[in-house]
Amino acid sequence: MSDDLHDDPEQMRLDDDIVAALRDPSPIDEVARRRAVRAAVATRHGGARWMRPLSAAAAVVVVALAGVVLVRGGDDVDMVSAPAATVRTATDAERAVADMAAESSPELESSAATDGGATSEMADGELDDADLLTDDAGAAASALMAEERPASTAVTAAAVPEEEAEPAESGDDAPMDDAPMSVLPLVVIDTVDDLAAAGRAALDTDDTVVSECAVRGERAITFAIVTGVDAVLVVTNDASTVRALAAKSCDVILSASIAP
Amino acid sequence: MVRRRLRSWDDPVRAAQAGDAAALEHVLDAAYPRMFAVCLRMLHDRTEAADCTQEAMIKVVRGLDGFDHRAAFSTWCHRVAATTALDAIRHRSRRPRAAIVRDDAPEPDWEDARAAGEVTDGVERAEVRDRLSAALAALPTDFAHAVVLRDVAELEYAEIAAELGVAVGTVKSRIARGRRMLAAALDADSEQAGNPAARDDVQSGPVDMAPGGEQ
Repeated sequence: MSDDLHDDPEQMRLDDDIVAALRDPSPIDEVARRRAVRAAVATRHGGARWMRPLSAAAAVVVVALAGVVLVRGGDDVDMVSAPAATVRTATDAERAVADMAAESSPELESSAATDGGATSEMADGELDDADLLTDDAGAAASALMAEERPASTAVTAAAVPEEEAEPAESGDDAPMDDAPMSVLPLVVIDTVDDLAAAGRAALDTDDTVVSECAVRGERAITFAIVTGVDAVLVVTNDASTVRALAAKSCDVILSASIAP
Repeated sequence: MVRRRLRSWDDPVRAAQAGDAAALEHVLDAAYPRMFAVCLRMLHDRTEAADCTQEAMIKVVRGLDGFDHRAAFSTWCHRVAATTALDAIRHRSRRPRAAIVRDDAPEPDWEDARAAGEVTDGVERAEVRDRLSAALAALPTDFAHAVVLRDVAELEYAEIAAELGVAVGTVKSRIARGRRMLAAALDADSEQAGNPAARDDVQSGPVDMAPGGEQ
């Protein structure tokens, strides 16, 4: 056989059964399949509507407590003490997120307001439509972390630089006035290192999961923690991180897909 | 969602492009298995492959409006999955990795199952898949990638050459030799497992396990 023939893929074919086996990835993880499909669909039809105002806001990923939720860390999760928040009028972006949280899970907010706990009714591994939020947020992203929830449900916004937080294409999606409103106290986390530190503090652990999240920060962010009740919120585009957290006795997973 | 096989991609894809979320979900769901297979055969890790597939699906959706129907939608999806997997491999080599314990299923003991009379067609298929996965993972990476891009992703030689950044001739050589190595590895594995009949159907050329001789 000549060298040409020897290296001719048309002369060296695998049997159909072998090719079929190569193309068969069984068993397929149906949860992962559903999550992937939903995340992709949501990219076009879902939560992007909510996050769009944030896209121009220097890709700040804002997470509001009370609703969207959550990976519950258990009763012993420490609350993170946030730096002193500055009381001011919420930006459009923050209000959009607050609305997002309220719409996503109003019953949860109600529950959190009354008993101080945010425990979801969702089963382990189950993802609700509202759990799939996407954003074309672009490169850098930050996370906002809620401070300890005050007794009153009226809370204030943290110091987010106005020029960063102000969306460039506000209006269509989130028509809002400038009147003061109550939103959760928020803390801006600008770097992945800060995020990891906040995560470790929130979880009271040096767990590698948090480190892994930091390492994976190259994808752009994507990870936010909210504490304040006994809940931790994780937003990530990394399914393995979600699964790793899920293994830590989390009740509910929020799976979001946020573009790098 | 009721899952059914798509007879034609064209109509649902056009509906998805027109804004039909249900149609989009349907085509993505139908595309998932092969996209996952492409990622899995490239990455050899189910968890990473699931991540990669999700990322690829998001890319597909983002590029949906630009899809012009000149190629098959499924082929386009495979190409996106392959590109995403190759990117993941490149990033993998640059990225420090913290340890996360993965809940991978334990290695099945096919010999015990066979001895216990539990061998069914399904088990045999699974056994073939496992041995194939192991054989593929053992191939030199360049050859394995070429075989996967051709036989799983069904890319054209020129597309593979573009993805891998090598000449078309090199691609053909890698595919031919990779297939030959894969067949040889499966033969050896089958004989070792006392099942020589399992691999009598590969059109065998001269077996050369040495990964040299590229153009």
